Amino acid sequence: MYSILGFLRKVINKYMTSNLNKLQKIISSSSLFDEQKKEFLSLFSKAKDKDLKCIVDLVRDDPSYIEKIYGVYRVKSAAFRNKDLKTWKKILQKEYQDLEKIEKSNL
Amino acid sequence: MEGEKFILKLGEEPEKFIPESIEKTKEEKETLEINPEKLCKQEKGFLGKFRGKTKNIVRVLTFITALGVGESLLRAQTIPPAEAAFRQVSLAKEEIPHEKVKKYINFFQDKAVKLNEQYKEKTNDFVQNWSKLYYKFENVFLNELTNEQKDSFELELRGIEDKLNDIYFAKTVGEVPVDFNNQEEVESLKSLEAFGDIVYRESPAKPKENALNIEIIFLGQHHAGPKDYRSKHSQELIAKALNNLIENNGYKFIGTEKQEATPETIKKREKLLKELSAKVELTEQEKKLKQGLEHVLYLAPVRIAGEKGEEITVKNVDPEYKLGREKWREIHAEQNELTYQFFQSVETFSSNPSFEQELLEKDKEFSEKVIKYLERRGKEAMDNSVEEIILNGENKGAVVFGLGDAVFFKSEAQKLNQDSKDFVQKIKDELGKDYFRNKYGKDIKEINLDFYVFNPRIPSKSN
Repeated sequence: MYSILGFLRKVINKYMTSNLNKLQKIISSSSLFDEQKKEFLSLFSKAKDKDLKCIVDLVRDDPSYIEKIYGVYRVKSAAFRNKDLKTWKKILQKEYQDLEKIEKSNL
Repeated sequence: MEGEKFILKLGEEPEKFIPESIEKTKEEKETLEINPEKLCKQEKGFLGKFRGKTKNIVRVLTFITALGVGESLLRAQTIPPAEAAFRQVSLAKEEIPHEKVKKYINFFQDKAVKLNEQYKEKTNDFVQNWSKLYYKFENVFLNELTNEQKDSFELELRGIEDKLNDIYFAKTVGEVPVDFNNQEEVESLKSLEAFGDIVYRESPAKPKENALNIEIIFLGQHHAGPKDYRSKHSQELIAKALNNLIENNGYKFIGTEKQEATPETIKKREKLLKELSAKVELTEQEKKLKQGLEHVLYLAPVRIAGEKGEEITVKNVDPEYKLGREKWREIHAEQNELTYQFFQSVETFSSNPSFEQELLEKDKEFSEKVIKYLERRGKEAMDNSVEEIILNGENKGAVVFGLGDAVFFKSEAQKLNQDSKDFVQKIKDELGKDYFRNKYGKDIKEINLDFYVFNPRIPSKSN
Protein backbone atom coordinates (compact mmCIF):
# COMPACT_ATOMS: atom_id res chain seq x y z
CA MET A 1 0.00 0.00 0.00
CA TYR A 2 2.68 2.48 1.06
CA SER A 3 4.75 1.67 -1.98
CA ILE A 4 1.84 2.48 -4.30
CA LEU A 5 1.20 5.81 -2.58
CA GLY A 6 4.91 6.54 -2.66
CA PHE A 7 5.02 5.78 -6.32
CA LEU A 8 2.03 7.98 -6.97
CA ARG A 9 3.63 10.83 -5.05
CA LYS A 10 6.76 10.36 -7.12
CA VAL A 11 4.76 10.52 -10.34
CA ILE A 12 2.90 13.62 -9.16
CA ASN A 13 6.11 15.34 -8.05
CA LYS A 14 7.65 14.60 -11.41
CA TYR A 15 4.81 16.38 -13.16
CA MET A 16 4.81 19.27 -10.72
CA THR A 17 8.37 20.18 -11.74
CA SER A 18 8.06 19.37 -15.42
CA ASN A 19 8.26 21.86 -18.25
CA LEU A 20 4.67 21.00 -18.99
CA ASN A 21 3.69 22.04 -15.50
CA LYS A 22 5.61 25.29 -15.83
CA LEU A 23 3.84 25.94 -19.11
CA GLN A 24 0.53 25.13 -17.52
CA LYS A 25 1.05 27.83 -14.90
CA ILE A 26 2.04 30.44 -17.45
CA ILE A 27 -0.82 29.52 -19.78
CA SER A 28 -3.30 29.61 -16.89
CA SER A 29 -2.42 33.21 -16.14
CA SER A 30 -2.48 34.25 -19.80
CA SER A 31 -5.29 36.19 -21.42
CA LEU A 32 -6.39 33.25 -23.59
CA PHE A 33 -9.95 32.04 -23.17
CA ASP A 34 -10.43 28.94 -21.02
CA GLU A 35 -11.15 26.73 -24.03
CA GLN A 36 -8.03 28.05 -25.76
CA LYS A 37 -5.96 27.38 -22.65
CA LYS A 38 -7.21 23.81 -22.52
CA GLU A 39 -6.62 23.32 -26.21
CA PHE A 40 -3.07 24.63 -25.98
CA LEU A 41 -2.26 22.57 -22.91
CA SER A 42 -3.70 19.49 -24.49
CA LEU A 43 -1.44 20.11 -27.48
CA PHE A 44 1.66 20.50 -25.34
CA SER A 45 0.84 17.45 -23.28
CA LYS A 46 1.53 15.37 -26.36
CA ALA A 47 5.11 16.57 -26.61
CA LYS A 48 8.22 15.25 -24.96
CA ASP A 49 8.91 17.28 -21.86
CA LYS A 50 12.46 18.16 -22.86
CA ASP A 51 11.18 19.56 -26.15
CA LEU A 52 9.02 22.02 -24.26
CA LYS A 53 12.06 23.70 -22.69
CA CYS A 54 12.52 26.13 -25.57
CA ILE A 55 8.92 27.30 -25.14
CA VAL A 56 9.27 27.61 -21.37
CA ASP A 57 12.45 29.66 -21.83
CA LEU A 58 10.68 31.96 -24.24
CA VAL A 59 7.43 32.55 -22.36
CA ARG A 60 9.00 32.72 -18.90
CA ASP A 61 10.89 35.86 -19.93
CA ASP A 62 7.92 37.34 -21.76
CA PRO A 63 4.55 35.68 -21.01
CA SER A 64 2.90 37.67 -23.80
CA TYR A 65 4.45 35.18 -26.22
CA ILE A 66 1.80 32.68 -25.14
CA GLU A 67 -0.89 34.59 -27.00
CA LYS A 68 1.42 35.12 -29.94
CA ILE A 69 2.36 31.52 -30.42
CA TYR A 70 -1.22 30.46 -29.88
CA GLY A 71 -2.15 32.76 -32.76
CA VAL A 72 0.55 31.22 -34.91
CA TYR A 73 -0.66 27.76 -34.05
CA ARG A 74 -4.22 28.65 -35.04
CA VAL A 75 -3.37 30.20 -38.40
CA LYS A 76 -1.00 27.39 -39.25
CA SER A 77 -3.57 24.77 -38.34
CA ALA A 78 -6.20 26.50 -40.46
CA ALA A 79 -3.88 26.78 -43.45
CA PHE A 80 -2.86 23.16 -43.10
CA ARG A 81 -6.40 21.91 -42.76
CA ASN A 82 -7.48 23.87 -45.83
CA LYS A 83 -4.37 22.81 -47.76
CA ASP A 84 -3.93 26.52 -48.41
CA LEU A 85 -0.46 26.89 -49.83
CA LYS A 86 -0.82 30.61 -50.46
CA THR A 87 -1.66 31.36 -46.84
CA TRP A 88 1.03 29.01 -45.64
CA LYS A 89 3.63 30.91 -47.61
CA LYS A 90 2.31 34.19 -46.26
CA ILE A 91 2.63 32.90 -42.73
CA LEU A 92 6.22 31.91 -43.25
CA GLN A 93 7.04 35.18 -45.00
CA LYS A 94 5.57 37.12 -42.14
CA GLU A 95 7.40 34.96 -39.64
CA TYR A 96 10.67 35.55 -41.41
CA GLN A 97 10.19 39.31 -41.54
CA ASP A 98 9.25 39.50 -37.88
CA LEU A 99 12.21 37.38 -36.92
CA GLU A 100 14.48 39.74 -38.83
CA LYS A 101 13.05 42.68 -36.94
CA ILE A 102 13.64 40.98 -33.63
CA GLU A 103 17.17 40.07 -34.63
CA LYS A 104 17.88 43.70 -35.51
CA SER A 105 16.38 45.02 -32.30
CA ASN A 106 18.55 42.60 -30.31
CA LEU A 107 21.74 43.78 -31.95
CA MET B 1 8.17 39.91 -33.47
CA GLU B 2 6.53 42.84 -31.83
CA GLY B 3 3.09 42.64 -30.34
CA GLU B 4 0.29 41.73 -32.67
CA LYS B 5 2.44 41.98 -35.76
CA PHE B 6 3.74 38.52 -35.24
CA ILE B 7 0.37 36.96 -35.89
CA LEU B 8 -0.28 37.03 -39.58
CA LYS B 9 -3.50 38.70 -40.57
CA LEU B 10 -5.07 36.57 -43.25
CA GLY B 11 -5.66 38.45 -46.47
CA GLU B 12 -2.62 40.63 -45.97
CA GLU B 13 -0.60 41.06 -49.16
CA PRO B 14 2.61 39.02 -49.25
CA GLU B 15 5.77 41.03 -49.40
CA LYS B 16 8.49 40.59 -51.96
CA PHE B 17 10.82 38.47 -49.96
CA ILE B 18 10.35 34.75 -50.22
CA PRO B 19 12.81 32.80 -48.08
CA GLU B 20 15.08 30.54 -50.06
CA SER B 21 13.96 27.52 -48.08
CA ILE B 22 10.42 27.95 -49.37
CA GLU B 23 11.40 28.37 -52.98
CA LYS B 24 13.42 25.19 -52.85
CA THR B 25 10.42 23.00 -52.09
CA LYS B 26 9.94 21.62 -55.57
CA GLU B 27 7.12 19.20 -54.84
CA GLU B 28 4.66 21.87 -53.80
CA LYS B 29 1.95 22.39 -56.35
CA GLU B 30 -1.24 24.36 -56.26
CA THR B 31 -2.32 23.18 -52.83
CA LEU B 32 -0.45 22.72 -49.61
CA GLU B 33 0.94 19.24 -49.38
CA ILE B 34 0.03 17.19 -46.37
CA ASN B 35 3.61 16.57 -45.53
CA PRO B 36 4.36 17.97 -42.09
CA GLU B 37 7.97 16.96 -42.22
CA LYS B 38 8.51 19.05 -45.32
CA LEU B 39 6.58 21.94 -43.84
CA CYS B 40 8.74 21.92 -40.76
CA LYS B 41 11.87 21.76 -42.87
CA GLN B 42 10.91 25.09 -44.38
CA GLU B 43 10.97 26.72 -40.98
CA LYS B 44 14.05 24.86 -39.88
CA GLY B 45 15.74 26.56 -42.80
CA PHE B 46 15.40 29.79 -40.81
CA LEU B 47 17.54 28.42 -38.00
CA GLY B 48 20.84 29.07 -39.72
CA LYS B 49 19.91 32.68 -40.35
CA PHE B 50 19.30 33.77 -36.76
CA ARG B 51 21.09 33.68 -33.45
CA GLY B 52 20.45 33.76 -29.72
CA LYS B 53 16.91 34.48 -28.59
CA THR B 54 15.65 34.77 -32.16
CA LYS B 55 16.97 31.32 -32.91
CA ASN B 56 15.05 30.00 -29.93
CA ILE B 57 11.91 31.64 -31.30
CA VAL B 58 12.47 29.79 -34.58
CA ARG B 59 12.72 26.55 -32.63
CA VAL B 60 9.43 27.33 -30.93
CA LEU B 61 7.75 28.16 -34.23
CA THR B 62 8.99 24.96 -35.83
CA PHE B 63 7.90 22.98 -32.84
CA ILE B 64 4.43 24.53 -32.92
CA THR B 65 4.18 23.60 -36.59
CA ALA B 66 5.16 20.05 -35.82
CA LEU B 67 2.70 19.80 -32.96
CA GLY B 68 -0.17 21.58 -34.55
CA VAL B 69 -0.32 20.57 -38.15
CA GLY B 70 1.13 17.19 -38.71
CA GLU B 71 -0.36 13.99 -37.44
CA SER B 72 2.40 11.83 -38.83
CA LEU B 73 5.17 14.06 -37.62
CA LEU B 74 3.40 14.44 -34.34
CA ARG B 75 3.49 10.72 -33.84
CA ALA B 76 7.13 10.52 -34.76
CA GLN B 77 8.22 13.29 -32.46
CA THR B 78 6.01 12.88 -29.48
CA ILE B 79 5.78 10.55 -26.58
CA PRO B 80 3.99 7.20 -26.58
CA PRO B 81 0.20 7.47 -26.29
CA ALA B 82 0.18 5.85 -22.86
CA GLU B 83 2.44 8.49 -21.39
CA ALA B 84 0.45 11.25 -23.08
CA ALA B 85 -2.66 9.88 -21.46
CA PHE B 86 -1.04 9.89 -18.03
CA ARG B 87 0.06 13.46 -18.53
CA GLN B 88 -3.40 14.54 -19.48
CA VAL B 89 -4.70 12.87 -16.38
CA SER B 90 -2.13 14.79 -14.37
CA LEU B 91 -3.08 18.05 -15.95
CA ALA B 92 -6.76 17.45 -15.50
CA LYS B 93 -6.15 16.60 -11.88
CA GLU B 94 -4.79 20.07 -11.34
CA GLU B 95 -7.71 21.66 -13.14
CA ILE B 96 -10.58 19.78 -11.58
CA PRO B 97 -11.22 20.89 -8.03
CA HIS B 98 -13.69 18.18 -7.22
CA GLU B 99 -12.18 15.99 -4.50
CA LYS B 100 -14.07 12.92 -5.48
CA VAL B 101 -13.02 13.12 -9.08
CA LYS B 102 -9.44 13.61 -7.97
CA LYS B 103 -9.62 10.37 -6.08
CA TYR B 104 -10.98 8.57 -9.11
CA ILE B 105 -8.24 9.98 -11.23
CA ASN B 106 -5.58 9.05 -8.71
CA PHE B 107 -6.91 5.56 -8.69
CA PHE B 108 -6.95 5.26 -12.43
CA GLN B 109 -3.64 6.93 -12.83
CA ASP B 110 -2.28 4.22 -10.62
CA LYS B 111 -4.05 1.65 -12.76
CA ALA B 112 -2.68 3.20 -15.90
CA VAL B 113 0.87 3.16 -14.54
CA LYS B 114 0.50 -0.45 -13.53
CA LEU B 115 -0.95 -1.29 -16.90
CA ASN B 116 2.04 0.28 -18.53
CA GLU B 117 4.33 -1.88 -16.43
CA GLN B 118 2.42 -4.94 -17.49
CA TYR B 119 2.84 -4.37 -21.21
CA LYS B 120 5.19 -7.24 -21.59
CA GLU B 121 3.63 -9.62 -19.15
CA LYS B 122 1.96 -12.78 -20.31
CA THR B 123 -1.05 -12.40 -18.12
CA ASN B 124 -4.78 -12.08 -18.17
CA ASP B 125 -4.36 -8.83 -16.25
CA PHE B 126 -4.60 -7.14 -19.60
CA VAL B 127 -8.26 -7.93 -19.88
CA GLN B 128 -9.28 -7.12 -16.34
CA ASN B 129 -7.20 -3.97 -15.96
CA TRP B 130 -8.03 -2.54 -19.30
CA SER B 131 -11.75 -2.98 -19.08
CA LYS B 132 -11.90 -1.25 -15.71
CA LEU B 133 -9.66 1.58 -16.75
CA TYR B 134 -11.72 2.22 -19.82
CA TYR B 135 -15.08 2.08 -18.09
CA LYS B 136 -13.97 4.47 -15.40
CA PHE B 137 -12.44 6.98 -17.74
CA GLU B 138 -15.52 6.85 -19.88
CA ASN B 139 -18.00 7.21 -17.08
CA VAL B 140 -16.31 9.58 -14.68
CA PHE B 141 -13.27 11.27 -15.99
CA LEU B 142 -14.34 12.03 -19.53
CA ASN B 143 -17.47 13.75 -18.32
CA GLU B 144 -15.28 16.48 -16.91
CA LEU B 145 -13.73 17.36 -20.23
CA THR B 146 -14.85 19.37 -23.23
CA ASN B 147 -16.10 17.38 -26.21
CA GLU B 148 -12.94 18.09 -28.14
CA GLN B 149 -10.74 16.96 -25.27
CA LYS B 150 -12.96 13.97 -24.77
CA ASP B 151 -12.57 12.82 -28.37
CA SER B 152 -8.86 13.36 -28.29
CA PHE B 153 -8.47 11.62 -24.97
CA GLU B 154 -10.60 8.69 -25.96
CA LEU B 155 -8.48 8.19 -29.03
CA GLU B 156 -5.41 8.25 -26.84
CA LEU B 157 -6.91 5.56 -24.68
CA ARG B 158 -7.74 3.51 -27.72
CA GLY B 159 -4.16 3.97 -28.79
CA ILE B 160 -3.07 2.39 -25.55
CA GLU B 161 -5.47 -0.44 -26.06
CA ASP B 162 -4.22 -1.07 -29.57
CA LYS B 163 -0.68 -1.11 -28.33
CA LEU B 164 -1.55 -3.43 -25.50
CA ASN B 165 -3.45 -5.69 -27.85
CA ASP B 166 -0.55 -5.91 -30.24
CA ILE B 167 2.03 -6.48 -27.55
CA TYR B 168 -0.20 -8.86 -25.72
CA PHE B 169 -0.74 -11.08 -28.72
CA ALA B 170 2.84 -10.81 -29.83
CA LYS B 171 4.05 -11.93 -26.41
CA THR B 172 1.49 -14.59 -25.67
CA VAL B 173 0.83 -16.32 -28.91
CA GLY B 174 3.43 -14.88 -31.21
CA GLU B 175 3.25 -14.31 -34.92
CA VAL B 176 2.04 -17.60 -36.24
CA PRO B 177 4.02 -18.52 -39.34
CA VAL B 178 2.07 -19.67 -42.35
CA ASP B 179 3.75 -23.03 -42.71
CA PHE B 180 0.82 -25.24 -43.56
CA ASN B 181 1.00 -28.73 -44.92
CA ASN B 182 -0.73 -28.51 -48.23
CA GLN B 183 -0.90 -26.08 -51.09
CA GLU B 184 -4.66 -25.75 -51.03
CA GLU B 185 -4.60 -24.62 -47.42
CA VAL B 186 -1.79 -22.22 -48.09
CA GLU B 187 -3.74 -20.66 -50.94
CA SER B 188 -6.83 -20.45 -48.80
CA LEU B 189 -4.93 -18.64 -46.06
CA LYS B 190 -3.26 -16.35 -48.49
CA SER B 191 -6.65 -15.15 -49.61
CA LEU B 192 -7.61 -14.65 -46.00
CA GLU B 193 -4.54 -12.62 -45.37
CA ALA B 194 -5.65 -10.09 -47.90
CA PHE B 195 -7.87 -8.74 -45.16
CA GLY B 196 -5.71 -9.03 -42.08
CA ASP B 197 -3.50 -11.22 -39.96
CA ILE B 198 -3.86 -14.49 -38.18
CA VAL B 199 -3.01 -13.61 -34.63
CA TYR B 200 -3.22 -17.09 -33.20
CA ARG B 201 -3.46 -20.66 -34.43
CA GLU B 202 -4.06 -23.63 -32.21
CA SER B 203 -3.43 -26.49 -34.54
CA PRO B 204 -3.45 -30.23 -33.95
CA ALA B 205 -0.26 -32.10 -34.85
CA LYS B 206 -1.87 -33.76 -37.89
CA PRO B 207 -5.29 -35.01 -39.03
CA LYS B 208 -6.35 -38.22 -37.26
CA GLU B 209 -8.14 -41.12 -38.93
CA ASN B 210 -10.85 -41.70 -36.33
CA ALA B 211 -11.26 -38.04 -35.49
CA LEU B 212 -13.52 -35.38 -36.86
CA ASN B 213 -11.14 -32.79 -38.24
CA ILE B 214 -12.71 -29.37 -37.77
CA GLU B 215 -11.53 -25.88 -38.55
CA ILE B 216 -12.90 -22.82 -36.82
CA ILE B 217 -11.92 -19.29 -37.59
CA PHE B 218 -12.80 -16.61 -35.10
CA LEU B 219 -12.93 -13.23 -36.78
CA GLY B 220 -12.11 -10.55 -34.27
CA GLN B 221 -14.04 -7.34 -34.53
CA HIS B 222 -12.94 -4.16 -32.88
CA HIS B 223 -16.29 -2.86 -31.88
CA ALA B 224 -15.54 -0.43 -29.06
CA GLY B 225 -14.34 3.15 -29.18
CA PRO B 226 -15.40 6.39 -30.77
CA LYS B 227 -17.84 6.01 -33.64
CA ASP B 228 -15.55 7.05 -36.47
CA TYR B 229 -12.76 4.91 -35.19
CA ARG B 230 -15.00 1.92 -34.78
CA SER B 231 -16.59 2.08 -38.20
CA LYS B 232 -13.31 2.88 -39.86
CA HIS B 233 -11.54 -0.15 -38.54
CA SER B 234 -13.97 -2.91 -38.30
CA GLN B 235 -17.20 -3.53 -40.05
CA GLU B 236 -16.33 -3.40 -43.70
CA LEU B 237 -13.32 -5.62 -43.20
CA ILE B 238 -15.35 -8.13 -41.22
CA ALA B 239 -17.94 -8.26 -43.96
CA LYS B 240 -15.31 -8.77 -46.63
CA ALA B 241 -13.39 -11.40 -44.70
CA LEU B 242 -16.57 -13.26 -43.86
CA ASN B 243 -17.69 -13.37 -47.45
CA ASN B 244 -14.31 -14.51 -48.54
CA LEU B 245 -14.44 -17.39 -46.09
CA ILE B 246 -17.93 -18.44 -47.05
CA GLU B 247 -17.75 -18.05 -50.81
CA ASN B 248 -14.19 -18.97 -51.60
CA ASN B 249 -13.08 -21.19 -48.79
CA GLY B 250 -16.11 -23.31 -47.90
CA TYR B 251 -16.67 -22.10 -44.34
CA LYS B 252 -20.10 -22.04 -42.74
CA PHE B 253 -21.09 -18.84 -41.00
CA ILE B 254 -21.85 -19.97 -37.48
CA GLY B 255 -22.97 -16.68 -36.02
CA THR B 256 -21.90 -13.60 -34.23
CA GLU B 257 -20.52 -14.26 -30.82
CA LYS B 258 -21.12 -10.69 -29.86
CA GLN B 259 -22.48 -7.86 -31.88
CA GLU B 260 -22.53 -4.42 -30.43
CA ALA B 261 -23.15 -1.26 -32.35
CA THR B 262 -24.62 2.16 -31.75
CA PRO B 263 -27.98 2.90 -33.35
CA GLU B 264 -26.19 5.38 -35.62
CA THR B 265 -23.78 2.75 -36.87
CA ILE B 266 -26.59 0.33 -37.53
CA LYS B 267 -28.51 3.02 -39.40
CA LYS B 268 -25.47 3.72 -41.54
CA ARG B 269 -25.08 0.05 -42.38
CA GLU B 270 -28.77 -0.29 -43.14
CA LYS B 271 -28.65 2.77 -45.37
CA LEU B 272 -25.68 1.37 -47.26
CA LEU B 273 -27.39 -1.98 -47.65
CA LYS B 274 -30.54 -0.27 -48.91
CA GLU B 275 -28.52 1.67 -51.47
CA LEU B 276 -26.77 -1.46 -52.66
CA SER B 277 -30.05 -3.37 -52.84
CA ALA B 278 -31.56 -0.64 -55.02
CA LYS B 279 -28.79 -0.81 -57.58
CA VAL B 280 -29.54 -2.83 -60.72
CA GLU B 281 -25.97 -3.85 -61.42
CA LEU B 282 -23.41 -4.39 -58.74
CA THR B 283 -19.68 -4.72 -59.10
CA GLU B 284 -18.06 -7.81 -57.62
CA GLN B 285 -16.84 -5.75 -54.69
CA GLU B 286 -20.29 -4.29 -54.08
CA LYS B 287 -21.87 -7.74 -54.22
CA LYS B 288 -19.54 -8.98 -51.53
CA LEU B 289 -20.05 -5.90 -49.42
CA LYS B 290 -23.81 -6.30 -49.69
CA GLN B 291 -23.66 -9.93 -48.61
CA GLY B 292 -21.32 -9.03 -45.78
CA LEU B 293 -23.68 -6.33 -44.58
CA GLU B 294 -26.55 -8.77 -44.67
CA HIS B 295 -24.60 -11.11 -42.46
CA VAL B 296 -23.62 -8.42 -40.01
CA LEU B 297 -27.06 -6.84 -39.90
CA TYR B 298 -29.47 -9.72 -40.09
CA LEU B 299 -27.81 -12.88 -38.94
CA ALA B 300 -26.56 -11.53 -35.62
CA PRO B 301 -28.26 -13.33 -32.75
CA VAL B 302 -28.66 -10.22 -30.67
CA ARG B 303 -27.58 -6.66 -31.14
CA ILE B 304 -26.93 -4.60 -28.10
CA ALA B 305 -27.29 -1.01 -29.11
CA GLY B 306 -25.39 1.97 -27.88
CA GLU B 307 -24.09 2.85 -24.49
CA LYS B 308 -27.50 2.55 -22.89
CA GLY B 309 -27.72 -1.09 -23.80
CA GLU B 310 -30.91 -0.62 -25.76
CA GLU B 311 -31.77 -3.57 -27.87
CA ILE B 312 -32.44 -3.12 -31.55
CA THR B 313 -35.01 -5.39 -33.12
CA VAL B 314 -33.44 -8.47 -34.55
CA LYS B 315 -34.86 -8.78 -38.02
CA ASN B 316 -33.86 -12.29 -38.82
CA VAL B 317 -32.20 -14.49 -36.28
CA ASP B 318 -30.51 -17.48 -37.83
CA PRO B 319 -32.89 -20.27 -36.75
CA GLU B 320 -30.05 -22.74 -36.49
CA TYR B 321 -28.04 -20.56 -34.20
CA LYS B 322 -27.60 -22.41 -30.96
CA LEU B 323 -26.80 -19.80 -28.41
CA GLY B 324 -29.96 -17.82 -28.90
CA ARG B 325 -31.26 -14.53 -27.82
CA GLU B 326 -32.25 -15.36 -24.26
CA LYS B 327 -28.82 -16.73 -23.52
CA TRP B 328 -27.26 -13.51 -24.67
CA ARG B 329 -29.52 -11.45 -22.50
CA GLU B 330 -28.46 -13.54 -19.56
CA ILE B 331 -24.75 -13.20 -20.32
CA HIS B 332 -24.89 -9.46 -20.83
CA ALA B 333 -26.94 -9.02 -17.70
CA GLU B 334 -24.15 -10.72 -15.79
CA GLN B 335 -21.53 -8.50 -17.35
CA ASN B 336 -23.54 -5.40 -16.52
CA GLU B 337 -23.98 -6.58 -12.97
CA LEU B 338 -20.23 -7.00 -12.53
CA THR B 339 -19.57 -3.53 -13.86
CA TYR B 340 -22.25 -2.11 -11.62
CA GLN B 341 -20.73 -3.79 -8.58
CA PHE B 342 -17.37 -2.29 -9.38
CA PHE B 343 -18.78 1.24 -9.64
CA GLN B 344 -20.65 0.74 -6.42
CA SER B 345 -17.47 -0.25 -4.65
CA VAL B 346 -15.63 2.81 -5.90
CA GLU B 347 -18.51 5.04 -4.82
CA THR B 348 -18.48 3.59 -1.33
CA PHE B 349 -14.75 3.81 -0.90
CA SER B 350 -14.41 7.33 -2.15
CA SER B 351 -16.04 8.59 1.04
CA ASN B 352 -14.09 6.26 3.26
CA PRO B 353 -10.76 7.40 4.80
CA SER B 354 -9.16 3.99 4.25
CA PHE B 355 -10.63 3.58 0.80
CA GLU B 356 -7.35 2.73 -0.94
CA GLN B 357 -6.79 -0.45 1.04
CA GLU B 358 -10.36 -1.57 0.72
CA LEU B 359 -10.43 -0.72 -2.93
CA LEU B 360 -7.45 -2.95 -3.56
CA GLU B 361 -9.19 -5.82 -1.85
CA LYS B 362 -12.40 -5.24 -3.68
CA ASP B 363 -10.46 -4.81 -6.87
CA LYS B 364 -9.02 -8.30 -6.52
CA GLU B 365 -12.40 -9.79 -5.85
CA PHE B 366 -13.86 -8.00 -8.83
CA SER B 367 -11.00 -9.07 -11.08
CA GLU B 368 -11.51 -12.71 -10.18
CA LYS B 369 -15.19 -12.44 -10.99
CA VAL B 370 -14.48 -10.89 -14.36
CA ILE B 371 -11.95 -13.57 -15.22
CA LYS B 372 -14.35 -16.35 -14.28
CA TYR B 373 -17.08 -14.75 -16.33
CA LEU B 374 -14.86 -14.41 -19.39
CA GLU B 375 -13.57 -17.95 -19.04
CA ARG B 376 -17.08 -19.27 -18.98
CA ARG B 377 -18.02 -17.11 -21.94
CA GLY B 378 -15.03 -18.44 -23.87
CA LYS B 379 -16.03 -22.02 -23.12
CA GLU B 380 -19.62 -21.42 -24.19
CA ALA B 381 -18.58 -19.76 -27.41
CA MET B 382 -16.14 -22.54 -28.23
CA ASP B 383 -18.50 -25.42 -27.37
CA ASN B 384 -21.40 -23.84 -29.21
CA SER B 385 -19.33 -23.19 -32.29
CA VAL B 386 -18.14 -26.80 -32.47
CA GLU B 387 -21.63 -28.11 -31.82
CA GLU B 388 -23.03 -25.90 -34.54
CA ILE B 389 -20.59 -27.26 -37.09
CA ILE B 390 -21.27 -30.86 -36.10
CA LEU B 391 -25.04 -30.43 -36.13
CA ASN B 392 -24.83 -29.24 -39.71
CA GLY B 393 -22.46 -31.96 -40.78
CA GLU B 394 -19.83 -29.38 -41.68
CA ASN B 395 -16.08 -29.27 -41.16
CA LYS B 396 -15.36 -25.57 -41.33
CA GLY B 397 -16.92 -22.67 -39.47
CA ALA B 398 -16.45 -18.94 -39.06
CA VAL B 399 -17.53 -16.92 -36.03
CA VAL B 400 -17.41 -13.16 -35.49
CA PHE B 401 -16.36 -12.13 -32.00
CA GLY B 402 -14.68 -9.46 -29.85
CA LEU B 403 -10.94 -9.67 -30.19
CA GLY B 404 -10.25 -9.32 -26.49
CA ASP B 405 -11.90 -12.68 -25.89
CA ALA B 406 -9.29 -14.53 -27.92
CA VAL B 407 -7.20 -15.24 -24.88
CA PHE B 408 -10.01 -17.33 -23.44
CA PHE B 409 -10.80 -19.02 -26.73
CA LYS B 410 -7.21 -20.10 -26.94
CA SER B 411 -7.28 -21.99 -23.65
CA GLU B 412 -10.70 -23.44 -24.48
CA ALA B 413 -9.48 -24.68 -27.85
CA GLN B 414 -6.60 -26.43 -26.13
CA LYS B 415 -8.93 -27.99 -23.56
CA LEU B 416 -11.34 -29.11 -26.26
CA ASN B 417 -8.58 -30.91 -28.13
CA GLN B 418 -7.45 -32.58 -24.91
CA ASP B 419 -10.91 -33.65 -23.76
CA SER B 420 -12.54 -34.17 -27.12
CA LYS B 421 -13.44 -37.83 -26.49
CA ASP B 422 -15.80 -36.62 -23.76
CA PHE B 423 -17.20 -34.03 -26.13
CA VAL B 424 -17.88 -36.67 -28.80
CA GLN B 425 -19.55 -38.92 -26.24
CA LYS B 426 -21.78 -36.02 -25.17
CA ILE B 427 -22.92 -35.55 -28.77
CA LYS B 428 -23.59 -39.29 -29.13
CA ASP B 429 -25.57 -39.33 -25.89
CA GLU B 430 -27.70 -36.45 -27.07
CA LEU B 431 -28.10 -37.28 -30.76
CA GLY B 432 -27.64 -41.04 -30.94
CA LYS B 433 -24.60 -43.29 -31.25
CA ASP B 434 -24.81 -43.40 -35.05
CA TYR B 435 -25.03 -39.65 -35.44
CA PHE B 436 -21.50 -39.22 -36.80
CA ARG B 437 -21.76 -42.25 -39.10
CA ASN B 438 -24.96 -40.84 -40.59
CA LYS B 439 -23.60 -37.31 -41.00
CA TYR B 440 -19.99 -37.94 -41.90
CA GLY B 441 -20.00 -41.51 -43.18
CA LYS B 442 -17.74 -42.88 -40.47
CA ASP B 443 -17.67 -43.34 -36.73
CA ILE B 444 -15.91 -40.60 -34.81
CA LYS B 445 -14.08 -41.06 -31.53
CA GLU B 446 -12.59 -37.61 -30.97
CA ILE B 447 -12.45 -34.06 -32.29
CA ASN B 448 -9.34 -32.70 -33.92
CA LEU B 449 -9.80 -28.96 -33.78
CA ASP B 450 -7.81 -26.62 -35.97
CA PHE B 451 -8.46 -23.21 -34.54
CA TYR B 452 -7.54 -19.77 -35.79
CA VAL B 453 -7.98 -16.33 -34.38
CA PHE B 454 -8.05 -13.94 -37.26
CA ASN B 455 -7.98 -10.19 -36.86
CA PRO B 456 -9.24 -8.37 -39.94
CA ARG B 457 -8.44 -5.04 -38.31
CA ILE B 458 -4.67 -5.28 -38.60
CA PRO B 459 -3.39 -4.64 -42.12
CA SER B 460 -1.56 -7.57 -43.59
CA LYS B 461 2.20 -7.38 -43.74
CA SER B 462 2.11 -9.05 -47.12
CA ASN B 463 -0.02 -6.26 -48.56
